[in-house]
Amino acid sequence: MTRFVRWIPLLALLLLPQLTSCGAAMPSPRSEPRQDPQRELDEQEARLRQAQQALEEAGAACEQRCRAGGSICDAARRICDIAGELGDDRSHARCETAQASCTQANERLSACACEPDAPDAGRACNVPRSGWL
Amino acid sequence: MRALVFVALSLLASGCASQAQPSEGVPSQALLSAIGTAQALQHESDEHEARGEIPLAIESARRVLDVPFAPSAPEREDVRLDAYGRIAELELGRDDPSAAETQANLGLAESTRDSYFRARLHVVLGRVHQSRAAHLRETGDDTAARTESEAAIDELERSIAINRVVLGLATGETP
Repeated sequence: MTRFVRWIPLLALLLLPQLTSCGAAMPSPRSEPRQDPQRELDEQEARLRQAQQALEEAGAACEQRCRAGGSICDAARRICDIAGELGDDRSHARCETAQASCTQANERLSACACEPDAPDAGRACNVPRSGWL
Repeated sequence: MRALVFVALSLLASGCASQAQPSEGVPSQALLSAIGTAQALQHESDEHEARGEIPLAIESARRVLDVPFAPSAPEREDVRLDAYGRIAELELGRDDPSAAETQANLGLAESTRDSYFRARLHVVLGRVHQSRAAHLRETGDDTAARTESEAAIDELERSIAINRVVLGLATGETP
Protein backbone atom coordinates (compact mmCIF):
# COMPACT_ATOMS: atom_id res chain seq x y z
CA MET A 1 0.00 0.00 0.00
CA THR A 2 2.78 2.41 0.99
CA ARG A 3 4.60 1.52 -2.19
CA PHE A 4 1.51 2.26 -4.21
CA VAL A 5 1.12 5.64 -2.54
CA ARG A 6 4.69 6.49 -3.59
CA TRP A 7 3.79 5.82 -7.19
CA ILE A 8 0.76 8.08 -7.21
CA PRO A 9 2.65 11.20 -8.39
CA LEU A 10 4.37 9.27 -11.16
CA LEU A 11 1.18 7.54 -12.20
CA ALA A 12 -0.56 10.90 -12.20
CA LEU A 13 2.11 12.26 -14.54
CA LEU A 14 1.77 9.29 -16.82
CA LEU A 15 -1.98 9.72 -16.98
CA LEU A 16 -1.96 13.51 -17.18
CA PRO A 17 -2.38 13.69 -20.96
CA GLN A 18 -5.41 11.47 -20.81
CA LEU A 19 -6.93 13.24 -17.84
CA THR A 20 -6.59 16.67 -19.45
CA SER A 21 -7.54 15.71 -22.97
CA CYS A 22 -11.15 16.10 -24.04
CA GLY A 23 -10.49 13.61 -26.76
CA ALA A 24 -9.67 11.05 -24.18
CA ALA A 25 -12.53 11.94 -21.93
CA MET A 26 -15.20 12.20 -24.62
CA PRO A 27 -15.34 9.26 -26.93
CA SER A 28 -16.06 10.13 -30.51
CA PRO A 29 -17.48 7.80 -33.09
CA ARG A 30 -14.59 8.80 -35.39
CA SER A 31 -11.79 8.35 -32.83
CA GLU A 32 -9.50 5.33 -32.82
CA PRO A 33 -10.48 2.67 -30.31
CA ARG A 34 -8.52 3.46 -27.13
CA GLN A 35 -7.06 1.04 -24.67
CA ASP A 36 -8.95 0.64 -21.46
CA PRO A 37 -7.47 3.28 -19.07
CA GLN A 38 -7.48 0.86 -16.17
CA ARG A 39 -5.56 -1.66 -18.22
CA GLU A 40 -3.09 1.00 -19.27
CA LEU A 41 -2.69 2.01 -15.64
CA ASP A 42 -2.05 -1.59 -14.69
CA GLU A 43 0.56 -1.93 -17.41
CA GLN A 44 2.37 1.21 -16.34
CA GLU A 45 2.27 0.02 -12.75
CA ALA A 46 3.71 -3.34 -13.77
CA ARG A 47 6.55 -1.60 -15.63
CA LEU A 48 7.31 0.49 -12.56
CA ARG A 49 7.36 -2.65 -10.42
CA GLN A 50 9.77 -4.33 -12.79
CA ALA A 51 12.12 -1.35 -12.78
CA GLN A 52 12.01 -1.08 -9.00
CA GLN A 53 12.61 -4.80 -8.65
CA ALA A 54 15.62 -4.69 -10.98
CA LEU A 55 17.08 -1.80 -8.99
CA GLU A 56 16.65 -3.52 -5.64
CA GLU A 57 18.01 -6.82 -6.89
CA ALA A 58 21.06 -5.08 -8.33
CA GLY A 59 21.67 -3.40 -4.97
CA ALA A 60 21.44 -6.64 -3.01
CA ALA A 61 23.62 -8.51 -5.48
CA CYS A 62 26.22 -5.76 -5.41
CA GLU A 63 26.25 -5.83 -1.62
CA GLN A 64 26.99 -9.53 -1.55
CA ARG A 65 29.65 -9.23 -4.25
CA CYS A 66 31.40 -6.41 -2.44
CA ARG A 67 31.46 -8.48 0.74
CA ALA A 68 32.83 -11.52 -1.06
CA GLY A 69 35.49 -9.45 -2.82
CA GLY A 70 36.50 -7.74 0.40
CA SER A 71 36.72 -11.09 2.15
CA ILE A 72 38.97 -12.51 -0.59
CA CYS A 73 41.38 -9.60 -0.23
CA ASP A 74 41.28 -9.86 3.58
CA ALA A 75 42.11 -13.58 3.38
CA ALA A 76 44.87 -12.87 0.85
CA ARG A 77 46.41 -10.31 3.19
CA ARG A 78 46.37 -12.81 6.04
CA ILE A 79 47.88 -15.54 3.86
CA CYS A 80 50.69 -13.23 2.81
CA ASP A 81 51.35 -12.21 6.43
CA ILE A 82 51.67 -15.88 7.38
CA ALA A 83 53.79 -16.61 4.31
CA GLY A 84 56.14 -13.85 5.38
CA GLU A 85 56.53 -15.55 8.75
CA LEU A 86 57.07 -18.99 7.22
CA GLY A 87 59.46 -17.64 4.61
CA ASP A 88 59.46 -20.62 2.24
CA ASP A 89 58.84 -20.72 -1.50
CA ARG A 90 55.64 -22.72 -1.26
CA SER A 91 54.05 -20.25 1.13
CA HIS A 92 55.10 -17.32 -1.05
CA ALA A 93 53.51 -19.03 -4.04
CA ARG A 94 50.28 -19.40 -2.06
CA CYS A 95 50.46 -15.71 -1.18
CA GLU A 96 50.85 -14.78 -4.86
CA THR A 97 47.91 -16.98 -5.82
CA ALA A 98 45.73 -15.39 -3.14
CA GLN A 99 46.77 -11.90 -4.22
CA ALA A 100 45.86 -12.75 -7.79
CA SER A 101 42.41 -13.77 -6.58
CA CYS A 102 42.10 -10.41 -4.84
CA THR A 103 43.04 -8.63 -8.08
CA GLN A 104 40.52 -10.70 -10.04
CA ALA A 105 37.83 -9.94 -7.47
CA ASN A 106 38.49 -6.22 -7.70
CA GLU A 107 38.30 -6.37 -11.49
CA ARG A 108 35.03 -8.25 -11.25
CA LEU A 109 33.70 -5.66 -8.84
CA SER A 110 34.52 -2.67 -10.99
CA ALA A 111 30.82 -2.12 -11.66
CA CYS A 112 29.98 -2.05 -7.96
CA ALA A 113 30.49 1.01 -5.79
CA CYS A 114 32.45 -0.86 -3.11
CA GLU A 115 34.31 1.18 -0.55
CA PRO A 116 37.99 0.60 -1.37
CA ASP A 117 39.43 1.68 1.95
CA ALA A 118 37.09 0.06 4.43
CA PRO A 119 38.69 -2.63 6.55
CA ASP A 120 38.64 -6.26 5.45
CA ALA A 121 35.40 -8.03 4.67
CA GLY A 122 33.28 -5.32 6.20
CA ARG A 123 33.76 -3.08 3.22
CA ALA A 124 30.78 -3.05 0.99
CA CYS A 125 28.71 -0.71 -1.06
CA ASN A 126 28.91 2.37 1.14
CA VAL A 127 27.14 0.72 4.06
CA PRO A 128 28.62 1.70 7.43
CA ARG A 129 30.54 -1.10 9.11
CA SER A 130 29.42 -2.43 12.45
CA GLY A 131 29.58 -5.73 14.21
CA TRP A 132 31.39 -8.73 12.99
CA LEU A 133 30.33 -8.41 9.38
CA MET B 1 24.50 -6.46 11.81
CA ARG B 2 25.43 -5.36 8.34
CA ALA B 3 24.90 -8.90 7.21
CA LEU B 4 21.36 -8.70 8.44
CA VAL B 5 20.90 -5.47 6.53
CA PHE B 6 22.02 -7.40 3.48
CA VAL B 7 19.62 -10.24 4.24
CA ALA B 8 16.82 -7.72 4.65
CA LEU B 9 17.77 -6.08 1.34
CA SER B 10 17.67 -9.41 -0.42
CA LEU B 11 14.35 -10.13 1.17
CA LEU B 12 12.90 -6.85 0.00
CA ALA B 13 14.14 -7.56 -3.50
CA SER B 14 12.58 -11.00 -3.52
CA GLY B 15 9.38 -9.69 -2.00
CA CYS B 16 9.18 -6.99 -4.62
CA ALA B 17 9.82 -9.52 -7.32
CA SER B 18 6.92 -11.50 -6.08
CA GLN B 19 4.43 -8.68 -6.17
CA ALA B 20 3.65 -9.36 -9.76
CA GLN B 21 2.82 -12.90 -8.74
CA PRO B 22 1.34 -12.56 -5.27
CA SER B 23 1.23 -16.27 -4.66
CA GLU B 24 5.00 -16.68 -4.77
CA GLY B 25 7.59 -15.65 -2.23
CA VAL B 26 5.92 -12.70 -0.54
CA PRO B 27 7.81 -12.23 2.73
CA SER B 28 5.48 -13.16 5.54
CA GLN B 29 5.00 -11.09 8.66
CA ALA B 30 6.61 -13.93 10.59
CA LEU B 31 9.75 -13.80 8.43
CA LEU B 32 10.00 -10.03 8.63
CA SER B 33 9.52 -10.22 12.38
CA ALA B 34 12.23 -12.89 12.72
CA ILE B 35 14.72 -10.84 10.73
CA GLY B 36 13.85 -7.73 12.72
CA THR B 37 14.39 -9.59 15.99
CA ALA B 38 17.73 -10.97 14.82
CA GLN B 39 18.79 -7.48 13.73
CA ALA B 40 17.86 -6.05 17.13
CA LEU B 41 19.83 -8.76 18.93
CA GLN B 42 22.91 -8.18 16.78
CA HIS B 43 22.63 -4.48 17.48
CA GLU B 44 22.37 -5.25 21.19
CA SER B 45 25.47 -7.43 20.85
CA ASP B 46 27.32 -4.56 19.15
CA GLU B 47 26.39 -2.25 22.00
CA HIS B 48 27.63 -4.69 24.63
CA GLU B 49 30.86 -5.21 22.73
CA ALA B 50 31.41 -1.46 22.45
CA ARG B 51 31.12 -1.25 26.25
CA GLY B 52 33.56 -4.12 26.71
CA GLU B 53 30.81 -6.43 27.98
CA ILE B 54 31.95 -9.42 25.94
CA PRO B 55 29.97 -12.14 27.79
CA LEU B 56 26.78 -10.12 27.28
CA ALA B 57 27.71 -9.49 23.64
CA ILE B 58 28.11 -13.23 23.13
CA GLU B 59 24.81 -13.94 24.87
CA SER B 60 22.96 -11.47 22.65
CA ALA B 61 24.48 -13.02 19.53
CA ARG B 62 23.68 -16.50 20.81
CA ARG B 63 20.01 -15.52 21.22
CA VAL B 64 19.89 -14.91 17.47
CA LEU B 65 20.10 -18.69 17.16
CA ASP B 66 16.85 -18.98 19.13
CA VAL B 67 14.92 -16.75 16.74
CA PRO B 68 12.36 -18.96 15.02
CA PHE B 69 12.63 -19.09 11.24
CA ALA B 70 10.71 -21.42 9.01
CA PRO B 71 13.17 -24.21 8.09
CA SER B 72 12.47 -23.52 4.44
CA ALA B 73 13.29 -19.79 4.64
CA PRO B 74 16.53 -19.22 2.73
CA GLU B 75 17.34 -16.26 5.00
CA ARG B 76 17.55 -18.63 7.97
CA GLU B 77 20.94 -20.03 7.03
CA ASP B 78 22.53 -16.63 6.42
CA VAL B 79 21.25 -15.23 9.70
CA ARG B 80 22.41 -18.25 11.70
CA LEU B 81 25.83 -18.42 10.06
CA ASP B 82 26.23 -14.71 10.72
CA ALA B 83 25.45 -15.32 14.40
CA TYR B 84 27.88 -18.24 14.68
CA GLY B 85 30.55 -16.12 13.05
CA ARG B 86 29.96 -13.23 15.38
CA ILE B 87 30.10 -15.45 18.47
CA ALA B 88 33.30 -17.04 17.17
CA GLU B 89 34.89 -13.62 16.60
CA LEU B 90 33.93 -12.52 20.09
CA GLU B 91 35.41 -15.71 21.56
CA LEU B 92 38.61 -15.09 19.61
CA GLY B 93 38.63 -11.54 20.90
CA ARG B 94 38.68 -12.80 24.46
CA ASP B 95 41.48 -15.21 23.63
CA ASP B 96 39.47 -18.42 23.57
CA PRO B 97 40.35 -19.97 20.20
CA SER B 98 38.87 -23.34 21.14
CA ALA B 99 35.44 -21.83 21.78
CA ALA B 100 35.77 -19.84 18.54
CA GLU B 101 36.64 -23.00 16.64
CA THR B 102 33.63 -24.81 18.10
CA GLN B 103 31.25 -22.04 17.05
CA ALA B 104 32.69 -21.77 13.55
CA ASN B 105 32.43 -25.53 13.09
CA LEU B 106 28.83 -25.51 14.32
CA GLY B 107 28.04 -22.92 11.69
CA LEU B 108 29.83 -24.85 8.97
CA ALA B 109 27.95 -28.01 9.94
CA GLU B 110 24.67 -26.16 9.33
CA SER B 111 25.71 -24.58 6.04
CA THR B 112 24.27 -26.10 2.92
CA ARG B 113 25.56 -23.83 0.16
CA ASP B 114 28.46 -21.60 -0.79
CA SER B 115 27.95 -18.10 0.52
CA TYR B 116 29.85 -15.18 1.89
CA PHE B 117 28.77 -16.30 5.37
CA ARG B 118 30.18 -19.79 4.94
CA ALA B 119 33.43 -18.33 3.60
CA ARG B 120 33.65 -16.00 6.57
CA LEU B 121 33.53 -18.95 8.99
CA HIS B 122 36.62 -20.37 7.27
CA VAL B 123 38.35 -17.03 7.80
CA VAL B 124 37.54 -17.34 11.50
CA LEU B 125 39.05 -20.84 11.53
CA GLY B 126 42.13 -19.44 9.80
CA ARG B 127 42.42 -16.85 12.54
CA VAL B 128 42.04 -19.57 15.17
CA HIS B 129 45.05 -21.41 13.69
CA GLN B 130 46.97 -18.14 13.41
CA SER B 131 46.32 -17.49 17.08
CA ARG B 132 47.52 -20.96 18.04
CA ALA B 133 50.60 -20.60 15.86
CA ALA B 134 51.52 -17.36 17.61
CA HIS B 135 51.09 -18.99 21.02
CA LEU B 136 53.22 -21.99 20.01
CA ARG B 137 55.98 -19.73 18.70
CA GLU B 138 56.04 -17.95 22.03
CA THR B 139 56.55 -21.26 23.78
CA GLY B 140 59.34 -22.19 21.38
CA ASP B 141 57.54 -25.01 19.59
CA ASP B 142 58.39 -23.90 16.06
CA THR B 143 57.43 -27.15 14.38
CA ALA B 144 53.92 -27.15 15.81
CA ALA B 145 53.65 -23.42 15.10
CA ARG B 146 54.49 -24.07 11.46
CA THR B 147 51.84 -26.77 11.24
CA GLU B 148 49.24 -24.36 12.66
CA SER B 149 50.33 -21.61 10.26
CA GLU B 150 49.89 -23.93 7.30
CA ALA B 151 46.48 -24.98 8.61
CA ALA B 152 45.59 -21.29 8.78
CA ILE B 153 46.53 -20.83 5.12
CA ASP B 154 44.45 -23.91 4.25
CA GLU B 155 41.35 -22.39 5.86
CA LEU B 156 41.93 -18.98 4.29
CA GLU B 157 42.30 -20.61 0.89
CA ARG B 158 38.99 -22.43 1.44
CA SER B 159 37.41 -19.09 2.18
CA ILE B 160 38.81 -17.61 -1.02
CA ALA B 161 37.60 -20.58 -3.07
CA ILE B 162 34.04 -20.13 -1.74
CA ASN B 163 34.02 -16.40 -2.36
CA ARG B 164 35.30 -16.97 -5.89
CA VAL B 165 32.17 -19.05 -6.47
CA VAL B 166 30.03 -16.29 -4.95
CA LEU B 167 31.66 -13.79 -7.31
CA GLY B 168 31.28 -16.05 -10.31
CA LEU B 169 35.01 -16.39 -10.80
CA ALA B 170 35.50 -19.83 -12.28
CA THR B 171 37.17 -22.16 -9.80
CA GLY B 172 39.16 -23.71 -12.61
CA GLU B 173 40.72 -20.32 -13.29
CA THR B 174 42.16 -19.97 -9.81
CA PRO B 175 45.39 -18.13 -10.50
